[in-house]
Amino acid sequence: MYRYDHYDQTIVDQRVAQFRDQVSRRLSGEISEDEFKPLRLQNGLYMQLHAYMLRVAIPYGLLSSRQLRKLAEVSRKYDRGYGHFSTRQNIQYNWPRLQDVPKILAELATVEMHSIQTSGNCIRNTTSDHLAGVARDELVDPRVYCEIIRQWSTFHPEFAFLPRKFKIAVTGAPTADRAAVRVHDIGVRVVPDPEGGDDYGFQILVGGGLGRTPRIAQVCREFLPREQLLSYLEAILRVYNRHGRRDNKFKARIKILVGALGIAEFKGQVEEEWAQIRDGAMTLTQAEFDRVAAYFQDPDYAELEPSDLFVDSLKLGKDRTLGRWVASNVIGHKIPGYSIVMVSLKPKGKPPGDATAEQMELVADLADRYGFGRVVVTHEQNLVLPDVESRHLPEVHAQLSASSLAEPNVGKVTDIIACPGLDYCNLANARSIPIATEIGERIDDLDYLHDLGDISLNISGCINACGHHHVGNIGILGIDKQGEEFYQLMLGGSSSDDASLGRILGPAFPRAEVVEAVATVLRTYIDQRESADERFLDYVRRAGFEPFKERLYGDA
Amino acid sequence: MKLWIITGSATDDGAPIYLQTGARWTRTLSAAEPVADDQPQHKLALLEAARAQQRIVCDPYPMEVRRGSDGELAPISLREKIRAEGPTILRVGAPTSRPTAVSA
Repeated sequence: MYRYDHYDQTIVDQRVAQFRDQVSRRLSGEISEDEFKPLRLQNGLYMQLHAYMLRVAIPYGLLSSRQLRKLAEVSRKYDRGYGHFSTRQNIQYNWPRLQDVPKILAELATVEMHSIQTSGNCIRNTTSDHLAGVARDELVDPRVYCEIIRQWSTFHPEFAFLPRKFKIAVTGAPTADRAAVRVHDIGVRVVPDPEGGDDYGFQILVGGGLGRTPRIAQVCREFLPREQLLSYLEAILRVYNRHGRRDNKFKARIKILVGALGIAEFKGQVEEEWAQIRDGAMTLTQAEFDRVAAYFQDPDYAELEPSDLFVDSLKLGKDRTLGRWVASNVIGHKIPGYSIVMVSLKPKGKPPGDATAEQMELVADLADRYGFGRVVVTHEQNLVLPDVESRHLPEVHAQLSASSLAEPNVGKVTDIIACPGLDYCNLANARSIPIATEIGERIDDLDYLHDLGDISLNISGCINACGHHHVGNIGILGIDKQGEEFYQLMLGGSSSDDASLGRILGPAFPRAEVVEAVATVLRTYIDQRESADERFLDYVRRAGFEPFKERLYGDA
Repeated sequence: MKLWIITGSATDDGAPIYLQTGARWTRTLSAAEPVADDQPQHKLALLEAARAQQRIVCDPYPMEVRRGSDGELAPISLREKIRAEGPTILRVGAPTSRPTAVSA
């Protein structure tokens, strides 16, 4: 993984010192909250319902075991002994005291971490495929380009005050989008060179996003030569920076600009801008690519026999607990004899994405003992141990299980993505986490859970859609109706290759009825699907909403 | 008649705090100084007094409360109830105690 050089470390250390001084002046009353707010936001420090919230960047979700231990230590020393992994592959601390934040940032700097650009109207943490570097279907490791984008976008003087926040995602697997690139401001897909050969480039998507105006991204360029990545991104950002609306924050995202101009006009302006800067200083030379790629070389894998048959035997073995876990939480690795282990942060009854200090330390220990000291955070709020020798799967399962980290539900309907909702968030209208935990408790039969197959369920506590409810196969949106919590159900969303936005099923359900409504949706699917091979999403697309409406609303 | 109190977030830890008599702050909602709708000048004066204390409090605002059958002030909205009482969920990790006094 990437390691800071002298310049990186100096910049981050200086930033900590700068923020320490700003905090000191705020606490002494030298500067007001109005003056301090933009300064703290530039360091990822928000004010939530009960406390400050500090968001720490985890570039493209990749952590070393050393970094994960530091995150655990910070949570124990300065917070309440846990952290919340977010849909941007970051971590959030919900209870830091202001005077401690500079100390936290100083400790993070010792392991090459920071919170820069985790808030504000700038380019945020670039996200990626959580299987990057180990996926069998990957054409190119996207982390190299994520890191190149990170270095380009960090403290980019031209893009420090964009009309609104800006999110980029990169996937290196041409046929399996696990990074939700179609719902990002810019989505970058590695694609083979259409003229053949071994070379590759990028398809550039633009104008996707969720929030109050959900949009699926459109193609801005079908094929971009790889050496032009930064110059083209720069051209897009320049057009957005120039014409994006600054008069209305609800219309300030690039998706609104793309919609207003139309993709043809937007693309035309980008190409015109690009023509001015392409082949210039931002051209990615082979030497620069190699410099960054050197940090992402494969670890020293052992030469092992293929293990797919062994893994299958575990799935079908007598130990049903292990078998279920292997079936849902273990993925084939690109290197024979290795497996990818998904660590579920969705145990029954607990907030999705939360991990205690002890759990983080256990995962770090497992990464060292059974892998190469690497851990990945997924945008679905789980963790990944990317390099486990398959023969160790039973041991790894046993240790995860003892710490409530082996819920066999990855990709299943209880693998819920949920925003913090009204339990923590200043913007929320309704609670999200209790709905998630109650759904998890309602669907407590593991055979039933696995019979349901792969279903994504996303919950947001308000229209800002931090739980990405528009792209859940089942989406739940919390709303406020005259002081009462109500929840809209949406069906048919997807953030994958077949990206689509869910549509509202019907009138919203009161708090007391929404969990049962979800159970009814699932029963309807089970009763009426053509076979167990027909996925929930495929059933919704084939059958439409009527079967669900009939069961949920009857004649009313 | 509607009752209001002034609330904001403590600068030191972000916790909800409430303005009480004498322009001092408390972490106990029921100890706040209420002001009725028919005293708009007093409400405004309290808000101004709160805004003047930016070292202690962030973004003060008036919130509506009611007086319960026990005579105690209580929040009306779910948001303010959760804000006053803490998250409704079973948290991961142990809650820690917070100071009862507001740092001045």
